[in-house]
Amino acid sequence: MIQFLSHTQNQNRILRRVFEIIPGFISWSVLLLFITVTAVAPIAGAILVVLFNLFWVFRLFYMTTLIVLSYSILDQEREANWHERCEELMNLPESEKKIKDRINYLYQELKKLRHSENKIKIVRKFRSERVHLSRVKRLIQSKLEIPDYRSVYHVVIFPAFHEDMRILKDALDSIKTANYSLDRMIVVVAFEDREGQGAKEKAEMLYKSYGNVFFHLLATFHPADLAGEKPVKGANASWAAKKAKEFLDEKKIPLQNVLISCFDADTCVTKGYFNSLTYHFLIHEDRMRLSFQPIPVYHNNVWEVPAFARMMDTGSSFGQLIESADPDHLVTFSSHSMNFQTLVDVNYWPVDMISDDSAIFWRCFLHFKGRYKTIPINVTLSMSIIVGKNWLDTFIKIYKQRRRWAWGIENFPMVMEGFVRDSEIPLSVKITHVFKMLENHVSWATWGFIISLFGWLPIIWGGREYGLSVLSYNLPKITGLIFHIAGISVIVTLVISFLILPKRPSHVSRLKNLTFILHCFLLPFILTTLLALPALDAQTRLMLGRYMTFQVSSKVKNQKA
Amino acid sequence: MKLRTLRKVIFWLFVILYFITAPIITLHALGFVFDPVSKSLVKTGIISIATEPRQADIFLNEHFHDKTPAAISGLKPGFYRVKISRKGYQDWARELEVRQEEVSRIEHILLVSKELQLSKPFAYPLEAFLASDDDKYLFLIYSARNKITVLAYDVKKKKSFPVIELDTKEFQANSIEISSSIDEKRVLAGFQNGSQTNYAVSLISEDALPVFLSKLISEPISNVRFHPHDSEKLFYLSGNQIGLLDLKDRSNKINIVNSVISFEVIGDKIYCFDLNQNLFTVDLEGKRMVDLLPNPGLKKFLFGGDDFKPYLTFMTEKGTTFWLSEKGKLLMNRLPYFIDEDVKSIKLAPDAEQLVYWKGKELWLLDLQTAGKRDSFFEEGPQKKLIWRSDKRILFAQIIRQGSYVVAATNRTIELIEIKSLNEGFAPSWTIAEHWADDGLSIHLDEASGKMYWTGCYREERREACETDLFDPSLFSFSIKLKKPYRSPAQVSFS
Repeated sequence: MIQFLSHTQNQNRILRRVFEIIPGFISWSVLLLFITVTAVAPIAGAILVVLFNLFWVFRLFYMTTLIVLSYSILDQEREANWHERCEELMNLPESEKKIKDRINYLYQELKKLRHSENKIKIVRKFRSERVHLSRVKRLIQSKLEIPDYRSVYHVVIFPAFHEDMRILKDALDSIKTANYSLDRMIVVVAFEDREGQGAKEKAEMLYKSYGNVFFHLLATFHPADLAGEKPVKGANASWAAKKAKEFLDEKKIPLQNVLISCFDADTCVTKGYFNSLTYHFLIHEDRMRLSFQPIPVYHNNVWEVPAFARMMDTGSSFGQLIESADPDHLVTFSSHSMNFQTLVDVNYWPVDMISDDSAIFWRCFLHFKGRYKTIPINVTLSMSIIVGKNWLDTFIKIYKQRRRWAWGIENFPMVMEGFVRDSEIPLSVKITHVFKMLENHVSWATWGFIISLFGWLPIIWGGREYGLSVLSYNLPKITGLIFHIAGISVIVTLVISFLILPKRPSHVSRLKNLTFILHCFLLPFILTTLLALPALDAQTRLMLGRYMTFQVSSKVKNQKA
Repeated sequence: MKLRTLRKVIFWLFVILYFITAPIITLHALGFVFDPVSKSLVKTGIISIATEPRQADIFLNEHFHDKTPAAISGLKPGFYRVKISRKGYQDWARELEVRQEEVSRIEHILLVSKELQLSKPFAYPLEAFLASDDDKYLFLIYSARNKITVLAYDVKKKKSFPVIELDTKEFQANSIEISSSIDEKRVLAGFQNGSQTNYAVSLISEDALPVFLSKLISEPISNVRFHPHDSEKLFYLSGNQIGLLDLKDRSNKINIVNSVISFEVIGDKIYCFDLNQNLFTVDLEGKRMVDLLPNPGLKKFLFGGDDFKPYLTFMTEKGTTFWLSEKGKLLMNRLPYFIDEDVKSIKLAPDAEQLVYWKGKELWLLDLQTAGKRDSFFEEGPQKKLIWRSDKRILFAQIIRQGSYVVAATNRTIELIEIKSLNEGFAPSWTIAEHWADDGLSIHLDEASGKMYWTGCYREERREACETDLFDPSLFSFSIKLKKPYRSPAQVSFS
């Protein structure tokens, strides 16, 4: 079996260091290439800027198209009755007929209606039902044996360290009202033992409030300083999962029938999430080799945070929408779900890595010789936007959070090492995954600088000869035109970000939306300082062997809501 | 179509689009255009034209192309006749060479109105204008009813008030020198009559009470200068001694240097010429620092045996110093470098990169950027060039618009002379105003407001003070406020 070894478990230290250096080396090389070429030959530098800006605008349009596509799918599934669909999986031939009838009815309704809000809703339902029908048809053809949805249990783990009680309660309340049978719901609140008495008291309070709500509520206390572990979320989640396994074994519930979700403590599930998850788990033949990735949205405190923080997290949601359009290369991010037996098979989450959310995917990918996938599920999970005491504090906290996310590049050396040792995964699969991972991280660390800053370099360093060239005159014009065209993409994403937003609370001024739009003008600054810089920081640390430690992000719930 | 397939189609569509557009845009950026005649790509150039005022018609080889500001691209290499024309303004025309892959920028053009729009903001028939160092105030000299009055005109507030008055029954004056303290709180006026000067110092405020130095210092004095750090202290030359007067304690007068015929306070140094034409510096307390010109042979060559008494001195931020003697010798640098003789006056550009001086009917330009870096007599001097010749004596010249133009006044006309991109021959000029015949024509150009103030006799009639808008400073995209170089007190003569 190919093992997924973190940097504390490596066997070939030199090979590991080489792979650790590669991402940072590429990012720095790209940046230095632009700087050097511009300094030595400003005209060549300017051409490089034009070519890059053009590439960037095409890439932006490509990503915007994917956002629109993914959003339309997300929107179409917004009112889907996932519970009904799970039931329909029990008797497929009969369900096919029922769905067809529903589609016919919707089609007739559509014919009657002209230009109204109802029409949009019906179109949405119509498209959703057609997708469901195609899946049912595929299942009938494949003669796949589908387990009874009533036999599927859910284990939800909330790793918590110094979390506010209200945040935990909101998260548990959202599960309570998620329209899923609570007698098949096992909730694990995974505290850190080092939190001390506070954790015990919180656990007591949770038992009092939710002890009888779910099939089982479990509070675990992860001991500090266990051998081979680092103080990371993955260690706590793994400890909690092991405790949950003990309970499931005791109750003789087969792990194959259990889906485990590892959520951030502030994750609030939307109604239908678990039904949707169950549905997607059941309709796939290779369900044991799948992770499930919802779309994270940061709506818990969206109306309470500075606009730039909201902009950053909207960007993260869009990032996930883009990723969800490419299921062949989708990697788990933040709150995600998978089969419990699979988790046990791969020896749980890594206990010494910060990016446990993506690392678990790669661990499974290597374990199953590349035959492992992440399935996007078009349901949102709401989380909180990181917030500080003031703007500056928020800014610093977001920077640190982004750096932690960018530290996901720690997977690269491990995946590479796994790929080198593995001979069964097809080379083309290896290449596409490595390329995608590198391309994602390198563009993350470099684009902001190139777009916001490097376009000015030929003008600053060009000198008299460059200043008199046609290119010096055309460069600002072309760049200006490219940025104007890119504005279309900004407007589209802005519209979608408003469509995704929850309703504005009455105490929040309408001006809040205006400030959000105005903050778009800060985009070059944000692109550089809160996107590119933290990523470059993380890659440089990995390149230099200065490994990061886990820092908990503080999140604040809406006080007035 | 499945999402996966759709995504791939979109992806490859964008890839193809990129590879089609990238070379097209790159070639366009480099100035290539497709020539349908030769059916090939040809390299082109651009002419970028900006004028003030805007919206002037651009004609290329007599064909209208666009209105200013504009960049005319796709021009095949060669010579083009460029004409810029706007109703009510004088035409601008030039033969321009367009080179492949290059932009010929003519973005400095000031169009001169055919009919001058004059206003007369001052009620008095003013004798002269002199500006304070930072152009905050204009000092207006008004002479009537046995009185010469110095008024301070606040340029921003457009308000004037008297600061010093001289009774001409007591002291006749035919010229005046004015300087303001660094803090712009005090003004010093020297009323001259032959070799005698009567100095007065006053606060620049509406209720100012001027102090006449003749009442404080019994001996005749000349060369009065403000202390660079304390506007209540004044250096003066009495006999051959430099004294320091404290206005707070008026009995406190200290002699700091002896045997001096002339001095100038520049920065924290006092540059002194002694009786033997030695040039040396002392600090502000009179302690001797450096002998700048110890070589007697060099001294003789430079000063030619005349008494070199500088009457106009400039010092740039880079430390380059200009000395103009009363007899018209122009020297440069600490170890003086001979520039020219018979020079009437000099004016340094605000960015201190060029200097104009005039002698008789000739206007000369000194390009200080071309000067050698070594600070010695043997260094390579700055390039000097005769740029314009008038048929009348030149009375005044000033470089404006960061070395693009010179405004020059003769005792007949006021001219705008274009010096930017000057190659061969004389610079082209446009007449701004005619018939201002007056030896005492006084001009002030305020770059910050784009206004030109002058006073003179129109068609030899009564002396008048006028104001006109020479350009709109808001349209001057390269306008930056530069720290003005040090200059010795401005001086004007009047009738």
